[in-house]
Amino acid sequence: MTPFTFRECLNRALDRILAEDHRAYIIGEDILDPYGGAFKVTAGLSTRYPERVRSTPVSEAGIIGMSVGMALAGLRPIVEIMFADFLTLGFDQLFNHATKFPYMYDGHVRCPVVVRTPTGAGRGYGPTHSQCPEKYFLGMPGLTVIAANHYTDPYPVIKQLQNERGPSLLIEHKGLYAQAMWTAEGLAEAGWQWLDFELGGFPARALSLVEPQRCNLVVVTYGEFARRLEGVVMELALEHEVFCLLVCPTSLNPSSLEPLWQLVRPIGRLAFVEEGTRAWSWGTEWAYRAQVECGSSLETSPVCLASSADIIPSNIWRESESILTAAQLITLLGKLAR
Amino acid sequence: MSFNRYSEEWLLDRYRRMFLIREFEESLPRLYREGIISGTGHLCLGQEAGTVAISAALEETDVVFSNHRGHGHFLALTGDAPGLLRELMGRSDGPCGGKGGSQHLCLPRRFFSNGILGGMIPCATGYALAQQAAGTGAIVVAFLGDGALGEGVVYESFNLASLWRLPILFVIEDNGYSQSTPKARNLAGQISSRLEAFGIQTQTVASTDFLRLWSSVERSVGQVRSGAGPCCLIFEAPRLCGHSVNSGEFAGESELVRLRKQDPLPLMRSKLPEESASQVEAEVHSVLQELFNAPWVRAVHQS
Repeated sequence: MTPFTFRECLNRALDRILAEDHRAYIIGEDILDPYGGAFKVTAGLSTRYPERVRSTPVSEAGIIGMSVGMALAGLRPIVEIMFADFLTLGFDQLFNHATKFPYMYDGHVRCPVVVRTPTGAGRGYGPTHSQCPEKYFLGMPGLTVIAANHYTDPYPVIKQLQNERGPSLLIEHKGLYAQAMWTAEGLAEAGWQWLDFELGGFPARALSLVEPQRCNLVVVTYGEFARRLEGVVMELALEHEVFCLLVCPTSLNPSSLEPLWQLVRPIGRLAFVEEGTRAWSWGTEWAYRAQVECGSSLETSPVCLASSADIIPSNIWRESESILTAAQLITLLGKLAR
Repeated sequence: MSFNRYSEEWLLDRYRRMFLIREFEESLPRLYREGIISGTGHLCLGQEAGTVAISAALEETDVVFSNHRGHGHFLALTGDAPGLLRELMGRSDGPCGGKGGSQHLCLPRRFFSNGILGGMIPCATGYALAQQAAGTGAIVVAFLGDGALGEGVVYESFNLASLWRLPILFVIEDNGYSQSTPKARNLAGQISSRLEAFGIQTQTVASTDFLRLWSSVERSVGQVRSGAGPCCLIFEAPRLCGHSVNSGEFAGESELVRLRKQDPLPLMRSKLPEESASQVEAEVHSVLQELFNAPWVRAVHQS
């Protein structure tokens, strides 16, 4: 059997949520059939649930704001923002409304809006359709930031987000949609061993090609970059005899990272890898916490690897130069392991 | 709406609410100065008639979205001066546990306010969508000032509300000033034309006379409740005070004299029997004096 792609898996998850919960709504731009959304995630859903799958005008602030009001009234809206780059247009509704209400109304209301959005480069879409803007949302009190990946079924994740007190942002890298979801059989056949655990109450997976205690290095990443790192880890093992423990959390801003540090302490070397721009980032925050919370177990300071700090060019060759590559990762991670 | 809402008793009760809002708010600057309340507050002196008329037209299940200038909206709906004072003082027994304060008030399923201009308008619109979807028959009222008309998200919401014929009444309190800036410097064209461009039925009420307001309010609320889609009411009512308790003069003395002529309280009072109106005022005054002089209020001052 061919494994499902992430897109199919997500589409089925949304279908199931709409079928099970009459409070669930999907709202976003161009999501109706036959178009089914810019990335086809909602294909078929508006036909099955015409009242609860709502295509909207191009009004990101209005859409997120409306979903905030819907959530206050007891509905469970899932918002699709066509490109993550457009999130900034609705930033205020997350920053000054959805996240604030449960707190400043003293727990009298819940506001579990789920905002889904595609991120990332790889298609030559240029400066305003290729970014990973999640870093700008990570420091927002009250917002849960989640990155989808090809290990994790999105159904229970979205269900869980709908039961949160406040809003959440679900990051879906564009490269993930056509990617096959890993099955246990597939992973085992490819030679991986893995450990599933929880970080921030959401699934996390640690994978390696040898037993974790024989690994030289822990590499933490999220989202679609985990798929790219599988190849890097494979090559480091086969060509350079460097063994990595690849860790992929779904929650990007958990309050406790202790379960991760339990994997890191015995190994003592640690890298954070992300596609977004260098500095002021997810990786630098987690690396700081690693230093504070398990610094005495680390042989060297944690390393943060990310893409160019510049704006992403449209030219596809220049774009590929601005994004962290597998070749760069092999060199940099290989150096860190020695 | 039945005819007996126009009875003398009913009118006196409306006047009682207007007077409560006025006297409560006029007492606030002193409490801020004394340190009993900290932070800021935006008073609605002069805008009481429209606020009270809206509340009087609502049913128990209707919902109000308010803004930074929301004490009047809250008091008109609830009459709960002690609750509002507790919240303004930041007490844990306030409606929002003292976390919300002046600009961030909430009564679940009934009242929500926030301090971002225009920001609540899409939230109110979404709340109205939920009412429409559930067939509750409830309507949503969203208050905004003329200053908030500079915010783009307001127009996204007008469009969505009209497109989906949502049960929402937009109430624009046009007090002629955006903080300190007169409307002529901020606003191009006519406010009503902006709404009409979205196909939203709009009535402008260029009066602070409660009885003149009331018929427009009754008509608009009834129209929204009938499922005809969103409506808008524009109240042209002066703000007889500065932008906030901390801000200074916003208009010259001659302008203030002109604005005070539109004060809704004397206008309403002139239509009521003198003796009954005086009695209402004395009752409200005594209740508020007792509240403001209560030991739990003054204790903060001493500590």
